Amino acid sequence: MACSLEKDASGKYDFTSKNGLTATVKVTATGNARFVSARFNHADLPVQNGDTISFTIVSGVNVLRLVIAVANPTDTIKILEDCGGGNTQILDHFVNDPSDPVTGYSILGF
Amino acid sequence: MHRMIVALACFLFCAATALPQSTDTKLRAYQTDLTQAKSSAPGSADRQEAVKHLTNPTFHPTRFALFAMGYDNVLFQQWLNLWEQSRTDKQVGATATGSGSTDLVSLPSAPQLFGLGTSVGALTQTVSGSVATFRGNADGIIRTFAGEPVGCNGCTGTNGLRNISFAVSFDLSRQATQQATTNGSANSATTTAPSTILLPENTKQFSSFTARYDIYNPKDTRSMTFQDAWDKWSTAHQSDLEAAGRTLQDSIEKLIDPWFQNDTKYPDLRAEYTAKLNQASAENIEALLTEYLSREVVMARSDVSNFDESLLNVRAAYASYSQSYEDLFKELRGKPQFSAEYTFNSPVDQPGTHNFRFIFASNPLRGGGLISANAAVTLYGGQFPAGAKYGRLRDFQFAAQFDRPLGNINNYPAVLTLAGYVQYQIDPSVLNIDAGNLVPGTTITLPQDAQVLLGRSGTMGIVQAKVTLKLKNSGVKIPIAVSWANRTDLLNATDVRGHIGLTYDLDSLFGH
Repeated sequence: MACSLEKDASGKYDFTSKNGLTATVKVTATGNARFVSARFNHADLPVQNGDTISFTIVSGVNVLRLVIAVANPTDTIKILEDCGGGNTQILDHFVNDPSDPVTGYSILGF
Repeated sequence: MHRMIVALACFLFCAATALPQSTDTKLRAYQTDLTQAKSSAPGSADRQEAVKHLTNPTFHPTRFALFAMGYDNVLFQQWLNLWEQSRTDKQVGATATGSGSTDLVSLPSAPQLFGLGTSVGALTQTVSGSVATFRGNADGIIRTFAGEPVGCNGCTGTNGLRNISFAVSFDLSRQATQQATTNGSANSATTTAPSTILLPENTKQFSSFTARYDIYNPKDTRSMTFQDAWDKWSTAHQSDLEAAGRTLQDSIEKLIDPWFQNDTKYPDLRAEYTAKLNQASAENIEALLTEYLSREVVMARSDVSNFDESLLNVRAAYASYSQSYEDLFKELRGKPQFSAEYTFNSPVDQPGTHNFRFIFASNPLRGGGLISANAAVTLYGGQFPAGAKYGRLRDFQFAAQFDRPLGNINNYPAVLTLAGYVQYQIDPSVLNIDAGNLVPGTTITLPQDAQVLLGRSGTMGIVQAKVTLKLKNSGVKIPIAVSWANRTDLLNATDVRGHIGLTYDLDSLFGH
């Protein structure tokens, strides 16, 4: 099963996707990690199992914004897309910064 | 002792130069990604990954907000600052009962960075002193020289180094003389010229050196215990965190999304600087990033109708976030602290001493008060003269103190301190009389150094009441105290004294 999000090589956006596709995104770390809150185009997303969200791409610039909490303050966070069939792709990875638990991405829907 | 101080200074300097240097202060929040970008080759995958974060204003969006505000601080720094301001457990000035010290009890913590103090008075000594004290932490000093943050969440410091601090005190009022031989009278009216006179001498102002090791100090923001407490607290306050997260989202959306999501020119701006930063040489990256962020600010000011208000709202969201930490403060206040301290004292006209002190502090009620206790032993240093009538062991000490903030315990204006001190002295005090001084009651000049015993052996008791005024958020404190003692080290009479000091904890200045 194919992934919905593709890294944007132009540098204009973080990801691109076809309109109407649904993406499932997870957060992981070496220790426990969870989404404290998640918003897609200014609307709250339900968080499943503390670490999974899903959203559907619309035309234009979409904004996904996440607030993440991890048990180990120095942990490395991975943002993954669950592409189905046991496949995942790493969308981003970074060392946690508890000073600012917020991160976000722009996704161009076309 | 001098060699020890020089070696320590060399060690700290050498260690500091081994760490990477800091970036422009306005870009400090971007430091992790900047370091990765500068250390990776142009066009490499590591460079692209770092640039992606640097050019994304919604990846840790407070970085952009702080750049736009021109502030060099971050969310956690505000909370750390509040925590540091609320602490009553730091020993900043001279160590307890040292010459000129205003303290009967050494407190369990030392500044994470630097502390400066001056004080006038004496507690166990007959002769009052006036001392200036410089106190520092090994890890904090190294990180400061290297431009690294001293305290932040996740910054646990360097193992071992963060537990070590030192203090050097200098006596500002010490006087000394040296004997000089005259060359006879300078005029005929001086018929009897003295053969020798006493001249004022450059004083050896070193008073004491202290080295301290924090055995267990969960109030140190760099300790794993502190970090773990933060973690447990955040788990237990999930709903509060979620509410705080939504508030943050609201304020950030209003500040960033009008241009990040809706301005059609923004993607081109980001693409332009993504390409430039991906190919830039390491030395040009900071300048390019500053240029890019400045253009983002211009665009944001154009697209966000009330940009300045939105910036303030972001800051206010963080401030309200900080307000919700009272429970965490209580938990941290309730943890005990243990430290061990060694002090070399060089008192006026007395043999040098080595003092070994164990420091304990606790706050069983988790309120604003702090109970501290010290147990110590003092040994005479150096070689003993032939036929010395005193032993190596000078005294045992025990002291206890209660500190209670007056007013709001998180932002108090003053601290009331009540303290008691008991010392059992094995022998009477030893007083050195240098060659050239007169034998008391005579005109006979001592031909060589002499030692006499003064006072008596036995128990010395001191009680003290102190008010320490805190100048709001400045790190400056003014202790004013009065003490009563049943005796002092050289005289047997009771003694009532006043004490005043001025201390400056630079941890507050550096906002952590």
